[in-house]
Amino acid sequence: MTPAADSSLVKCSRCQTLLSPELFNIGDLIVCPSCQKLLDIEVFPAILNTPVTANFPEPILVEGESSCFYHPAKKASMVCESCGRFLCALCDLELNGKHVCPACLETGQKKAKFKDLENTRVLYDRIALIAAVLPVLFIWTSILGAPFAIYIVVRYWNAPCSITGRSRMRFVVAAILAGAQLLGWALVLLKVLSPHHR
Amino acid sequence: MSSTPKEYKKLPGNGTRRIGTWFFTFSRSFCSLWMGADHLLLVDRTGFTETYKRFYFRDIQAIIIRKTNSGAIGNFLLVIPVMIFGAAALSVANLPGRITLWIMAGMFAFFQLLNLISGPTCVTHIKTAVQTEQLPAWGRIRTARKGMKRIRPFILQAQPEIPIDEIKARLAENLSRQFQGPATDAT
Repeated sequence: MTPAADSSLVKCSRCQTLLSPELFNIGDLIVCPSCQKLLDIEVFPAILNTPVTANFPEPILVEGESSCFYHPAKKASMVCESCGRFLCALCDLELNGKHVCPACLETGQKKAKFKDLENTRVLYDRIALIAAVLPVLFIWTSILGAPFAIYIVVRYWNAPCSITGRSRMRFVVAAILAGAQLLGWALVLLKVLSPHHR
Repeated sequence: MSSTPKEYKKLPGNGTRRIGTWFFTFSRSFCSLWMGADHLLLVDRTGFTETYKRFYFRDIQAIIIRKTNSGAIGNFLLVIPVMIFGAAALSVANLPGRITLWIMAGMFAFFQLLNLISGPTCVTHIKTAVQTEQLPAWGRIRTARKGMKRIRPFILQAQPEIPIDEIKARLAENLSRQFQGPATDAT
């Protein structure tokens, strides 16, 4: 099976039977000829795209020709826009119209420089809110939960929240709740230690 | 203070992705679908972490919606407690007990009503040249169609304009070539 042909085939998501193109873009549910399940399939022009073949680097034929930093025997065809190293066609990675080398791409991914490559984020605002709310249910645990929530708020205030553009409201709410709990505990402590109480 | 425009817009629907066997769930993540300038963003939230998958409009080849029976099974499972608690409430003479049982029956009836209003369930998959990924956020046919209506213009705008009849004809050609392949190789 050629990759081009394979990528253009649409299978039933239940029985994996190849489906006839007549069943596509009907706008209503159709019956899978094999498993009899009801399907609604919408295909787009990209289904006809052939997979992009890899660019193979050219070997250096003339002495003194600029070579790839990573493959000295291959001809350089591009310069990394991040570090300036010469790259062959194999090492040239294009991302949002920018040409970078594999090392810069890896570093950029680790440092979250390229937003499009980011695939995980820790939700510190959520941690802070849970730490401020959940321990209250067990009352005494809030002695630990409230300072922890405040620590998270202060430590990770500038850390990015969800990529979907969530505000820092959870941080604010967590700080207010944790602050109120600490204030409450301080008042309790004052009351307990006061001479009148004794 | 001027607010910056949001990069992502939420698409209708929320769902859960379950990892485990048919009787035991190892982990469950909450999924939602967002629309960016040139891609769809699938967000899976597990506890305090979010993982992202991007589907660029130019790469989306197909969206496959398959109707499932989960909604009907859910209705059937919810009607049982409604009937049990309703029957028990009718047979109990004690007023507080009767009220409690009616509340229980009403609670299950409410969930059943919600399930009925949400409409039939489905499993939605998105296909690109290299992967077919499930979209748990689109677990109801109505939600999936509503979402499709919103993203369709963006997908079509990002891809070359080819009439659907031509697409179908070329796909049929590919399919017939696929079945002829081994025979021609053998000769």
